Amino acid sequence: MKKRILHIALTCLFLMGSFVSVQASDVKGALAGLGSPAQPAVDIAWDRYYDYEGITEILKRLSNEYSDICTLESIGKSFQGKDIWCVTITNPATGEHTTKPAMYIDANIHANEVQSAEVALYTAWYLLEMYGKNDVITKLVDTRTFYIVPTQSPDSRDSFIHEPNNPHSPRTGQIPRDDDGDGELDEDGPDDLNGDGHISIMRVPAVNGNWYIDPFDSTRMVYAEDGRRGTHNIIWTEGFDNDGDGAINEDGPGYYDPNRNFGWLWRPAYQQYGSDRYPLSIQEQRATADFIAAHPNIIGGQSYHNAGGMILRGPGASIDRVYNRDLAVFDFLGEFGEKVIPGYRYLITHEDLYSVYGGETDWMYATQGIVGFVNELWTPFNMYRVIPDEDDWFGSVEQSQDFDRELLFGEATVAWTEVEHPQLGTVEVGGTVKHYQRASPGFLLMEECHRNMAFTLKQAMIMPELEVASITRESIGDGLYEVTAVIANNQQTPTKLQVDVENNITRADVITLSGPECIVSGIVEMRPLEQFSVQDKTPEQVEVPYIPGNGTVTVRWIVRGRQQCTVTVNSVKGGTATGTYR
Amino acid sequence: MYRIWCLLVLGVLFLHSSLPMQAEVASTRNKPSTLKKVLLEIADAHSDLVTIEEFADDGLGNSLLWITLGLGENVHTRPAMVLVGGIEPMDVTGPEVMSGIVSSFLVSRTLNNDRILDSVTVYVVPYLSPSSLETLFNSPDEEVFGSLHPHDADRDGLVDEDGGEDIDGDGRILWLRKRSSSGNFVEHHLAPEIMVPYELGVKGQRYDVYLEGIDSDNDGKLNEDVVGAVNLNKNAPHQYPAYTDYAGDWSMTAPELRALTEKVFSRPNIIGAYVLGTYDNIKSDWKFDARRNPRSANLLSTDSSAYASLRTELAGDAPFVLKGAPAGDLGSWLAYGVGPITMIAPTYVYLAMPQDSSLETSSDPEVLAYRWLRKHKSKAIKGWESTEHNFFDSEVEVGGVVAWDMVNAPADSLQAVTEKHYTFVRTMCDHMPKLSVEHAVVDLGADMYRIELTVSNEGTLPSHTVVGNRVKMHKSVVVQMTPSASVTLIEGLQKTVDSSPIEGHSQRSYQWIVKGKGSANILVMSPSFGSKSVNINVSAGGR
Repeated sequence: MKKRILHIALTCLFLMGSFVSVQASDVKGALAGLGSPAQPAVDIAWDRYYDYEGITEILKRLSNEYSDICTLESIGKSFQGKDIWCVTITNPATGEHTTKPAMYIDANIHANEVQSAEVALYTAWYLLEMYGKNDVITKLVDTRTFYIVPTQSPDSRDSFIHEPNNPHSPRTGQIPRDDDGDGELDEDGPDDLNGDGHISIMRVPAVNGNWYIDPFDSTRMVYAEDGRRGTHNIIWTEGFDNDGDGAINEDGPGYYDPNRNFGWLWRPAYQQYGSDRYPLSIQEQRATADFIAAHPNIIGGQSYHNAGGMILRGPGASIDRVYNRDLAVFDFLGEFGEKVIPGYRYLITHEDLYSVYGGETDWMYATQGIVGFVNELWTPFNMYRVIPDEDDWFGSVEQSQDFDRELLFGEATVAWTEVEHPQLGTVEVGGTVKHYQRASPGFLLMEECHRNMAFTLKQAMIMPELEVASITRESIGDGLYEVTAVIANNQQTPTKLQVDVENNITRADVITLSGPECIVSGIVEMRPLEQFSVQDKTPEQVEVPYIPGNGTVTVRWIVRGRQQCTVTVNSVKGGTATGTYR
Repeated sequence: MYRIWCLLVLGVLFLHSSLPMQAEVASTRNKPSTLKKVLLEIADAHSDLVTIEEFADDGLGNSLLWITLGLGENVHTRPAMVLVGGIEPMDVTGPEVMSGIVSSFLVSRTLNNDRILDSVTVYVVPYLSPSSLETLFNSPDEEVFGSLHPHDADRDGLVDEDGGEDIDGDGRILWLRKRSSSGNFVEHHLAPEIMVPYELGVKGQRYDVYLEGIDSDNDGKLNEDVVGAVNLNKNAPHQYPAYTDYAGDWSMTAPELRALTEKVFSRPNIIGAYVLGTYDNIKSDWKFDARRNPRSANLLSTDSSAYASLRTELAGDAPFVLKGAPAGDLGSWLAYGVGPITMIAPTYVYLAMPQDSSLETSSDPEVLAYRWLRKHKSKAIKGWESTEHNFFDSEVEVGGVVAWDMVNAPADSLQAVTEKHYTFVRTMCDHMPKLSVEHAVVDLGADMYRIELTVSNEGTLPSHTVVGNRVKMHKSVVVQMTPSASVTLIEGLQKTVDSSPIEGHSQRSYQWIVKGKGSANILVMSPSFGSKSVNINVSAGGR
């Protein structure tokens, strides 16, 4: 009997073992490369794009493995009922997540900008795997909170990965909309004519057409310029006229642009294409905004997109502004980003790219007082480490095709093949696969993740770090004393941005004295001699508009008695600090 | 008989409300909840003409009503208007006016054989701000500034903690004023209890003005976080007044506005809207601000001509010009963000003042209202009186006009106000787009025929608006050609989707070339234009 039990147990162990895949960290004798977790508890391949189920599994594994510093929650549901996941990473032993300056990171608001989710996931993974092993990361997790939303568009992410698409689709979510105004919803989207899982383009031979085939590379189409006679016309993306209206693919899934739907300088669709019905009409973006607004401790913001290798700051529109004092923080980080992510450029959205009304990070800045950046991942610089032209977001056709041929060995190309089209007759279909041009190739993805994470962690590092730098007490006679406290912010970001202070977005920072009876209190300023501005109300509490980056504020109480004095700073976005004078 | 009884019930309500009224006897007016009961009874009695749905919850336990007036199965696929009242937090009159308009349509049908509801659908939202309006009935001598969703106006982490108080014990919460050489207000030169914004060059004492009350939270600010309050007429996206009082944290935070917008989007047959607002665009020179929106100026020229045509029809009945600038209000949101041709009129003050020939006249209706109140409802006005207030280090005065009385029509003029609004609405109904089609068949020889179709709009308003089409609320005009099996379509589309509006009193032609004898069906449809189907005999002559 015992033998039989042993046999069953051994069989079970063998079967269990057969389900455990060999992971990189299982291989003994390796020296981990610097900057990477040596033996990650959750081993993840960073050379691929995960669908919704994959992201969910990774997040659950991380939150289970690191449940002491990581929690996973659903902040809302997508149109198709998927969870919009958010991981919160901080060390609760050093304070509740809401009491620390917070960095909010999201990605994949445009689902076709696929690798953005991996950058956000990588950030969560790296913070968790390196906590306790790297001092910088440990300090960050102890003193800051990270809220990370890897995908804002889980429905369309699955569409991108599992359904036929091109590099630019789906940018929209999946809520049906009547794009062509014919009363029908999503009735004429693209069709995968050659059944390869990609929506590439259709061409037909044409006398004096606009394009011709490159005589040196038959996969390449060249636009017929300078009076040259072309051989083909390019019709459109793959598809039929499904509804008999003479147009092809004019009403596919969606269409709206989730990153034009936020409630700052939102404009109707005739002014801002894709803005949808009204600010935050799209439930996924409403969930995101509600989450951010419910966490006023967020002062750093990052949204990952692709492509072009850009670090974008607002304003998105020329009628908007970024306050002068806030520019110091933006510029410092933008320039840092250009350094740590070679090939990326620090740009102003409306000046250097195009106008964006209703953009997420503009909403973050103007209504929540958050330093918001958009990183456009993947730069053609990464192909050959050559700085591209200023307007070259995806790389030239020639460069892209060389890169595909020489480094991807042709995986990105959809060879031209003939198919029968019900309206056009015989057409040729070809071009590129959907995860080329904008998505980072597998062998470069981990680098993209790490460098962009480093940029984001820099922002987290320079978020406010408060300290009660000194407390002094001087007798002024009759049992009264002046208690003076200097409150320092030891990082570059002020506790409130200027946009916040000027527009009363969050409450003032409050510095409280407990211990002796407070008679009167106020702020001490040096102009150039000491000036004491009295605050009339609640003398134990002094309100200061903000505590500047790498600066101090000095506050003073006139108190009765010599009891121990405890000074507590409480800043919505800057965190807390306490000091005692005995 | 039951139908007439129900209309009488509504009539009795209005009669009841025509009793002499003071704000303190607000029980003589009809709360939204009272109106709802009566409207539901009317719907029961006129189920062929009236349906009522509770289309949203305002998040505070009150439902928002969507009343559909119209006969026939195609009520949602023919031209329609939407009327919206009870938007402003103090506008008790608006829901009563809207309910009165519902009644007026039915009475006119019964007594005057008015058949407009056979061809035009009228949707009515009697009130959008029920929470504040209901509350107002409990405290008629206070001022309510917006819907009652808790809101941390001063961002101190506390919600609604510092509203107004009756510090002089007279039962009313009015205003405090303090002399200040840099104050932002001065007395109205004809109505000293009304404080108006100071303008450069105006002479006279300047004041700081505060809501009557104390610093309840001891934060050094007076009444800076009243109950609620997001004003639904400041929270919409068109020229949204960011960072201003009662505008909300960003546009469309108010669930009532979102619910209404979604509802209007779900009814693409709505081509006209009539909104009770704080200014009028019927007589005043109200046009799209091309300077602020240069990319859209040309785009909207088609819609602008429709506005101009409709104004011409309505302006004769508009007694006053009430100027105002759009700033987050619902009316301009519907006009420029959703799509219907939207007329905005004030509920009361500028529309139908009660007559009193003994009063000195004025071109300023606010002054007229003030003079009428001074004579007939003196308790609504309190002259400025000095008062003790420990918040201030110098003398302050308390006084002003009770907002309820200034905003709302006196009970005995409610009927006249309602009639005036009904006149506008009924006139707009007459100018809905009207679809008609004509066709001809031309024999081209070789068994080929050209089918010509002329689509005409015999109404004033366009088939749809450019705004509505661009924001995907209005549908395009779809012309669907379906030939019989023996007829082949040679040229022309099976389905033509025409996004360009067919303007009022204009026509547009479509043509096809077909081969073979038989028939063809052509269906022209657009929810805001209606639909027509023609069967064509494809042969010489075509009839």
